[in-house]
Amino acid sequence: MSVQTADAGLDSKLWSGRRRALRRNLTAFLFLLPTFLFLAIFMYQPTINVIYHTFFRWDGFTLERFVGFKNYITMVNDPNMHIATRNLGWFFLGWMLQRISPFLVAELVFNLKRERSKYWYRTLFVLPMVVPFLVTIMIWKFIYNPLPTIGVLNRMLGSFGLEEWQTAWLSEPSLVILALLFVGFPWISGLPFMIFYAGLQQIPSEVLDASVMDGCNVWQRMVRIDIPLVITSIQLVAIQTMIGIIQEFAFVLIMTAGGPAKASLVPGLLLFMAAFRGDQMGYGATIGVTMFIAIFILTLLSFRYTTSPFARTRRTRET
Amino acid sequence: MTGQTVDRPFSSSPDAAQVELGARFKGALHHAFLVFLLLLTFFPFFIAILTSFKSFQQLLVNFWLPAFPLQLHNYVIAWNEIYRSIINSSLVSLGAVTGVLLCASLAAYAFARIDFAWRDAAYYLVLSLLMIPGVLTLIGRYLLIVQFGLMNSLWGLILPYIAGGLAFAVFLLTGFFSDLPEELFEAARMDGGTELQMYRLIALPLSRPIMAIVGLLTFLSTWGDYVWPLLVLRSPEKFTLMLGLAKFTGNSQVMFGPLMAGYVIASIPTAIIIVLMMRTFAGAALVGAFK
Repeated sequence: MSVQTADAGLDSKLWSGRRRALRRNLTAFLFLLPTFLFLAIFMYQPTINVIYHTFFRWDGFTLERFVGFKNYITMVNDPNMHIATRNLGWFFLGWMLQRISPFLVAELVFNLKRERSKYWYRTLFVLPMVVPFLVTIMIWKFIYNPLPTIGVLNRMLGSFGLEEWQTAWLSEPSLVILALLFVGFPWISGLPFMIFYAGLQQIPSEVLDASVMDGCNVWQRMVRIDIPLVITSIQLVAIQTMIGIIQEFAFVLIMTAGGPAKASLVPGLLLFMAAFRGDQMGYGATIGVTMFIAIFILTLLSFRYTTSPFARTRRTRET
Repeated sequence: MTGQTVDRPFSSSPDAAQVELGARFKGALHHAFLVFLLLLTFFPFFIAILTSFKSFQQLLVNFWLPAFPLQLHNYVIAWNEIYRSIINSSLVSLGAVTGVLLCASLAAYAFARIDFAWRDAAYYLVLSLLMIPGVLTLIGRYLLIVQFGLMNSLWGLILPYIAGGLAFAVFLLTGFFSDLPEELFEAARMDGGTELQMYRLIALPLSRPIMAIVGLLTFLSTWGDYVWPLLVLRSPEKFTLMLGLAKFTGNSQVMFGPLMAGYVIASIPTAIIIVLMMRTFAGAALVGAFK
């Protein structure tokens, strides 16, 4: 900071004030420079570039011809897109339920009497998070292995005498989505469980004590007290899950690559195939922009029809 | 907390013993159900570890129980297959974590503690990126990497990872830095401290837990990523761990033992880091970050 000069005339004071502001701006600029360099090159530029090129027939490099809204029209009429969207609907339903259901388990653990057992259950339930997600799904691929002697699930059915139920779980068009949704069962371990539990811990103990005094049973307490008080955490999980599901494809790519035929195709995978396996960058970009719009609208809607997830933190900060 | 038991109004009634018995039974059921869920949760990992010690013959004969002798050799095969990709992944994650922490903490300090022109606008410009799905920028980033000549190079992973992690990191760190007491900075300013000194000597030392969280999140997302390395990397000696594992999976049709051993090895680095974080200071802050 500049040291104040001895002759503190009004003029020079004003001048030094301005100089200080200028200096502050310069300092802030230098602090922000690395971040904005990265963001400009790897976030803003690609985003704008991709949106712009949805109006072009484009292979990403040399071929570039303006086609107006043709990509969007192609997408709306693309039978693959119809299949992918319908599949996504099922995944959406299943994965949403999966991500919210740990709330019930968080309640079960939270309602235990002894602090020690609460601690141990909590730790053990989140412990599998140390395994990278990709490893988990590869283990599930082993579980679904079609060989009756190797696949864990098939082997299990065999040892119960249910040989006729053994099947190639990921190659059966009517089963594949169910099999994919079942991955990770019972779906407890993960951030949602931690977020829900943290939310429950935030409930003031006076409120819980009062509910016991009033003879509230566990179910009543959950519906009338816990859920309304942790609804912000539930929303947070729901919104993040939604955003994640719409663009999800790495999981499907590894498990089935969208197969058999197109039985587990999702829009994200369609984008991936079009852009990186089919030289249709413009069309891939169009699917990406459409997903972005869908995510944007869903996020806005969820903010509008529920209390803002930030309302509570804002209130606590003001007091 | 609910831990304390409150005397129920009817606890002195004649059938108190029966009520007590009912509560005990309920408690046992409660525990039994949770333990059942735990068993289901751990079942796949249990099977994977079990299988990692078996030869193919042992797997066929004895599927559900440990088989002796233990095939420790499986781990040698797996290690030789993936150790190189572990090194690559470590380099990438280290680079990304360092970059994100450095850039984001500088920017967050400016947003939280320096009163400069267009501060809000700049802040929202960063936050708006949280809305942009990664899959949208995938294509654009890929073309950039091709143009910069970074295909098949680990820098082609590190630089976009830094950019991708920045928005959320700036968001978390700005919140933390603005909650630091102003008196600390006021005192330093009186003593003629520059902003860079205050950043380095006040803000950074006080924010170690939240920096650890940001570092951990960046590490986990870069370590576990599959799609981006799949697009950028071509030659197997550059592969990251997830690509290496995928390749190993594709190559070893019947070598389930070594394959599972590879999965176990791949989980060890993340396990060590998460446990270390939990045990030191980050556990409490991790919960705080998501409340």
